[in-house]
Amino acid sequence: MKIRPCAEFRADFPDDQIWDDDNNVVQFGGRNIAEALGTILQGQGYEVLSLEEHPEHGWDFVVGLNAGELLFEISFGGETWHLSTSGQSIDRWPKPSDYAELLIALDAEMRKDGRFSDIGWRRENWQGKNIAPTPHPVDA
Amino acid sequence: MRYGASLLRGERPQSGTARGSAPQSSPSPGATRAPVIRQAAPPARPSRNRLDRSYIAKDLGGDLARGVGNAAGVVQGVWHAAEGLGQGAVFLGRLASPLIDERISAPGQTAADQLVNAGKGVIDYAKKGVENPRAVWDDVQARWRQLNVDLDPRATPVADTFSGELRRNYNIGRNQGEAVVEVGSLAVGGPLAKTAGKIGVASKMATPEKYLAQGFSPKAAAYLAEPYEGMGHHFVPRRVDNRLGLSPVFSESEFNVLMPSGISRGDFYEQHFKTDPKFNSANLPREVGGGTWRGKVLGLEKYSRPGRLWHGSPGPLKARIGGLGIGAGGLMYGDTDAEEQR
Repeated sequence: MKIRPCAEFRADFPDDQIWDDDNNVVQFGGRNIAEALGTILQGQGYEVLSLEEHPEHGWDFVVGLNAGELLFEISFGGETWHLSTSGQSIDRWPKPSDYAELLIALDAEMRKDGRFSDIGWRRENWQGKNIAPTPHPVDA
Repeated sequence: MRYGASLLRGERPQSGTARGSAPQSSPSPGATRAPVIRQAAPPARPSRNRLDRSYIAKDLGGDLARGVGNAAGVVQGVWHAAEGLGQGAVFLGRLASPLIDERISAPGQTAADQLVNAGKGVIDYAKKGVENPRAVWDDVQARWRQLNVDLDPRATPVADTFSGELRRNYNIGRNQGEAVVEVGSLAVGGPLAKTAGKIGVASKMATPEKYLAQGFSPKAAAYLAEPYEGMGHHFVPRRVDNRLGLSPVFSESEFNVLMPSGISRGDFYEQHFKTDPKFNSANLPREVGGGTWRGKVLGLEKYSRPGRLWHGSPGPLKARIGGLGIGAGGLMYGDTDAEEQR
């Protein structure tokens, strides 16, 4: 089983980045997207914890996965948004089967949700290598 | 660095002894100085030991002792650097908790008091320099002489005995080893290098022309050329800090946040793009026309893992704990670059 933990997608959401009068960022964009993904996962029965801003990047939150935990990081990548998922710590690393099941469910729900489009999955969140994303988060 | 610190305290270095050898005695302040009667030293009795009389043995033994001293000095330098990091963290912690610090410190010895006193010391020394530049020059020359004695085996005479020569070379070797670590530390993250670096960066701060040439509009180019005032790049991500229970004193300190002073927004984005596998772009405000800064469009490339660890870790962290800190930080980036390694 090969898991692709990172997604690239377009998101039709209002720009929620907040600037001050000097054009410095007060709040980074992507909170609404992170909340939407969290809501999707909660709808699938997963526990979503602690949404936090990650300055210069975007937003992240933790998802409980049986005895494990996954960190979800949402960041703006130019025309598309990036989702990067990873284990939170060695002692709470999720089972690969649980991890794969969650990503498959998330992918399916995002495709049903009209706000997300052009969803592709990668082994890594790195644009430098020009490796095309694939439509499936998991290969058997 | 210790040399600078003692200079700032106005201490005059002793000359003629290598660090680590017995200090010369000096009269206590206020003591009446006895008249100096110069007497010719009695002629040294020639040693019966063949090693003591052999220049070759002393030369070879001295080289060997200096090599052993070098290794010991490097270990000692690294130990002192780590010790400095620990003391720095404790000091920052005390500064951040003034109520507790006041209760555990002797009167006038809180971290805040020490900071103020250190600042006064610097100002006093600067004043002294303005009033009497010759004194500062004398200090510099004396320190230079002392460094010479500490580090150069040719600056002090060969010892009379073989064991004395081993001791002399071992001390010099140890000083050399420690100096290598200290100078390396200074070159990367010491106060002098940092100040010099800031001046250098400020003088090299990018101009709007650079961003115009990259294809940005004049307004966006001017925005990118403005000084960066954000939160910087956290070498160990803040969430990991929270999880490990690390204090914000560390998380937001110069040991963890890479934020070069005097850098433009555009140049910071470039540096961040190269050092952080998860940073790819930044929004530009609507006021300058909106749009996005994207590293990939500019043809930038990410550093390899060793490059990210080196360029992405703040100077003071590199300087203080070198590879240990880089290794620890490297773990935080996980293994998401499997394809990079292929």
